[in-house]
Amino acid sequence: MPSTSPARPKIIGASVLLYRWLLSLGPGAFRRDYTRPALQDFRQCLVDAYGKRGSFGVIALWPLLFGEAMVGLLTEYITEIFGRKRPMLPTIRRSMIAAFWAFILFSIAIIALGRTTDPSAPFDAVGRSHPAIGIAYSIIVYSWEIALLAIVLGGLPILFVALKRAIPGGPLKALKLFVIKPRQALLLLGVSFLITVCFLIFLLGTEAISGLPSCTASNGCIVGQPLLLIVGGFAAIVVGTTLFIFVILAITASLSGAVLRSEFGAGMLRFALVPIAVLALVMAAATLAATFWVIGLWIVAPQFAASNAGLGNGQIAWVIAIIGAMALSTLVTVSALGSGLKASRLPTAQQN
Amino acid sequence: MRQVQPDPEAMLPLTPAMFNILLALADGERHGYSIMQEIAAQTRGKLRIGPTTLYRSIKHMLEDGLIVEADERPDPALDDERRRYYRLTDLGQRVAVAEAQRLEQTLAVARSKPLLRSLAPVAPEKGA
Repeated sequence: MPSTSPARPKIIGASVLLYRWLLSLGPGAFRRDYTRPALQDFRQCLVDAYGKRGSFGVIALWPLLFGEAMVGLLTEYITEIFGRKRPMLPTIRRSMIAAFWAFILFSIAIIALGRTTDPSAPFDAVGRSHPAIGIAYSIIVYSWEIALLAIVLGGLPILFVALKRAIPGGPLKALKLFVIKPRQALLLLGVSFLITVCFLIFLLGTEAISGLPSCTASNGCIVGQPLLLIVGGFAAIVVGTTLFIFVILAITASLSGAVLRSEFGAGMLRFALVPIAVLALVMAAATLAATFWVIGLWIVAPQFAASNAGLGNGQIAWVIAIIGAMALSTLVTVSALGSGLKASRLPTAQQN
Repeated sequence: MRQVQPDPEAMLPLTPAMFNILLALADGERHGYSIMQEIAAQTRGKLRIGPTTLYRSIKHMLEDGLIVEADERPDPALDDERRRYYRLTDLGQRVAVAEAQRLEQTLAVARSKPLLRSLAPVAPEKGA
């Protein structure tokens, strides 16, 4: 029978407030995902207890519910800090997803670096006169091509197995593998918008610090343009960039979701460690080569590096951010490889 | 190509909370509060888990692919609030069976020990 108690007793309200406060002390991820249902169930426990034994029933529940909340939240903190002994298969599955996201970040960084060195003729000239600089840049380019190959060759069999297992359940089940829920899509859209805003602030900030170029008829200067055109143009840039980032994130999230929802054998997951190892290797090589390349440019051709054709006019901040992104993707991939390798050596029976 | 299934043994032993959540979900989809009630009923009140333990276990089980979120809807037996429902995955079912078999083996060993004779199944009395 539905419980219809419009006015909650004060003791329940006070207990819920206290429990809500206790939950707010918990780790971020747990707090974000489970505060609402935990509060809902806590309140329901109290309502049931009150219905059976009144206020005494509610008070009698306090030691159990508050005690287990304190111990549980503390344990969850410890779990988040030191990690949880995870079973082998989910760990490698997570390593695959982390490496895939790292590859996407790495690819964006490489594409951005390519845009920074466009037009490439003066950079090529420096590379020809200083072979070490040229070799470093070639390593960056080839590393990305090898990384892409590793993702394709490693990812296709995994996708094939996922689809093969899903197809017998009907095309809808296969399609469901890749579905992003509306709430997740909204979250991705929000993240895309935030990235766009940060990106534009970074661009405008570095431009302002390095000194805005003087207005000419040909450089698309906005000074003197009608306000409506400026606002409209800015809004179009924000919307376009947000949508572009959203599409990238959505595709990545969709593929990651398919990997999470599919069941793979130990052999297949162990096989995935090979492309992850290749990724880690080439990402590390590319990051080191990019660092060497930018430092080398400043040493062997300082005037060119400082010029607008080189890395001047705020480009250097951009390149540092790119190398930072490459280093981050390398770290994530190496860490994913480490935990994947560790998990693959685990015995079959373990404490969860 | 031979289909390789994940090894449920790799996830054993389960914590009592996790095993009982799997058992509670064996009958079908349930929301958090319903899981808590079912656990109390199936253990005859000997195991009572609070919301924090429940959702910590649920979080880990979702991560390990033992359960999935079904959807969010009100429970007509309770109130109008929307509740998140969970259900077992194929892997979750296999892990529950593997854990039950493991416990059965342990119980068989316990029954064979002289100290724990009282656990031995009672033989039917003659003429009864």
